[in-house]
Amino acid sequence: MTGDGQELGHCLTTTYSGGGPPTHRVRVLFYMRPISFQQTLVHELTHALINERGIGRKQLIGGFCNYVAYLFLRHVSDTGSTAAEQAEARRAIDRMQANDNVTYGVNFRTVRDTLADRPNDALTWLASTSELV
Amino acid sequence: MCAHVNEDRFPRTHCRSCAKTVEIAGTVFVRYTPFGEPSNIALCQTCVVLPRVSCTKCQRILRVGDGNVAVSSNYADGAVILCETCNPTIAHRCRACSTPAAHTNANGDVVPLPGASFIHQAGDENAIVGWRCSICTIDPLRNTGEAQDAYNAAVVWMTNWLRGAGLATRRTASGSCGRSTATPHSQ
Repeated sequence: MTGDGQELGHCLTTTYSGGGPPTHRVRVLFYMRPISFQQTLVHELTHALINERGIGRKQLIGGFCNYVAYLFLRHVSDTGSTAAEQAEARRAIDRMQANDNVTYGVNFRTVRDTLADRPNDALTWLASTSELV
Repeated sequence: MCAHVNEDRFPRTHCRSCAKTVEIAGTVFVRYTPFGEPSNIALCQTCVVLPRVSCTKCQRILRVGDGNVAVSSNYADGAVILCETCNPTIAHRCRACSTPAAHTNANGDVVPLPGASFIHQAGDENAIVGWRCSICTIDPLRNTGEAQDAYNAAVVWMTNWLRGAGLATRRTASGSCGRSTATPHSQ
């Protein structure tokens, strides 16, 4: 994730004044390879999840969504059906780890280091960071 | 009888790759770059047979074996390697992974790097809307139909992750008006 202003995906959450659950519309750039598509999709679905639950400190959310995408990439790098697929996932992880953008790189690494080997506690932890502005 | 040999009398240089001192008589001078200075680099007899890596754009030699002979930037696991002169000149990068994809030459022409491709507006190949590097050019998902398997796999993984966190839920929702929150993902 370079944070260079290029948009790979988009999540639009709509809430309704009359009550009822919000709806989410996710868009992902086309002409991407499957792993890049999935990485972006998981990132955007995490936005949808966070928007729906109304949790998290706003400044950490971009990094948190990348953290969940990172968990997915780690899954692929460990269990991908081919060596090439695993290598591609590792390259994507390397790009995330090297990203110097504050939102998508620095904050991602903050979340990753904080949660370490407790990925199942991620949402509980994010909720504990409070105030979704 | 004195056995001392004055080594200074033999013209010497340094191998650009391994930095060993070598006699010029046994050194191979290899063309370093198609332009600019220096035009040649000195390599010893050992290093001259090692594989070389050149700048993707200008072909300047950047590595000989495991040794660096010039500063370079490496992208996408070696798919694109650029020297420090060319790297800042790359104006067009892969939208999917930010790897350099094309540059604008002195004539103002946009020149794709090897293997890179571009996406253009329908019916107008000059209306370029995005670039893909040599890796992302191969087997991309071009529409929602082609993305279905990748979509399903990602959703299954995410569902399992949520279950692991004890938070898996399923619901349906609909609505026609309300407040929207856009969450762009700029990468």
